[in-house]
Amino acid sequence: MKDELTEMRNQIAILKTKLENQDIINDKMMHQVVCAKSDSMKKKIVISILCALFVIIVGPFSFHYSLGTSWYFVIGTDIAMLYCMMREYRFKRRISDHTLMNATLLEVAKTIQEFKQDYKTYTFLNMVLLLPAWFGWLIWENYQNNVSKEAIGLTIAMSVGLAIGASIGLYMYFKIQNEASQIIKQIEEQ
Amino acid sequence: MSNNETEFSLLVREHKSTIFTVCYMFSKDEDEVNDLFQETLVNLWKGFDSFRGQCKVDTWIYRVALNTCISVERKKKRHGKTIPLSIEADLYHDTDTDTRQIQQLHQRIQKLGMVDRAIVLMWIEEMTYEEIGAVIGISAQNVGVKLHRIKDELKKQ
Repeated sequence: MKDELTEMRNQIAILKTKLENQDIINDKMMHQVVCAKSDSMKKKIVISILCALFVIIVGPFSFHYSLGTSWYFVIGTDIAMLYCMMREYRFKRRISDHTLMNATLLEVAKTIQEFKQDYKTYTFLNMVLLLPAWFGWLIWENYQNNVSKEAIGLTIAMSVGLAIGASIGLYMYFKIQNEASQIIKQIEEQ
Repeated sequence: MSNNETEFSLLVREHKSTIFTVCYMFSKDEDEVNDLFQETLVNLWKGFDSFRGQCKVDTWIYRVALNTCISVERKKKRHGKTIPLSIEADLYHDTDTDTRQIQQLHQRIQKLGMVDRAIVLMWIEEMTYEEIGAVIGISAQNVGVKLHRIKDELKKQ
């Protein structure tokens, strides 16, 4: 055990000696570090609240006034969006920097693995149950409230919107899964 | 500066060499060291309020620094503009004897996997097997076994 590791120990001692008289950290950097925490937290909270308000208030109302959907549909959409936002927020908290930084490396791997599995289940349920149910309801309301030709046109438009939204959602899902896999791969034993 | 900020500033300045060493061993170039170092400071500051002596300061700093280095590999995220470190030595390009020794160490460490790199660094810092295990999340016995395997791997290099 002695030779290679002892040599490395000597080399680290050289590095430490070299660093000893260096300032490394300047006041400007410290100021930026201290501000980074509160700024980023506030920004995230404000943006989240604004996005939530916009989506919950403006989104469904536009369905009601432009497509003539019922208030039940508006309320149902609000509830679904609230559910999704709460789940997303909880996922974010689980893998927040603060949570990960205080854990051991293996705890980080375990947390990420659990997150990956839970996020997969959540996305699957959304794609297979929630989204089709919501879209089916929207189409039904559309046909109830609009004459045939208009309904067809609106259905096509909504389908395009759904396809785009679903594509973006899937892209984000795969990106998150990939990032989580990267962490696990880096931490796992080789 | 508040008392908390002053206390934090003193703590990181006292352990600057440790933080820098970890970041240096997980980086490929000067820019990356800068990013990792500042990301680590931000994460230490974020966790400073909740850290109240649950473990030794060295252990806590190592844990945060290592988790940062591994996470940043993934995210490649920046907290605003990076400020250059106040360091005169160029550990990547200088050619004096001491720097070449350091570069040799850097190359050897870089060839190890993330967990092995972390274990070696902490062992070099003379942390006990229990302390190393506490950071990684494995038993002290397991640390010994891994160190033995790392030594064999270093011999092959």
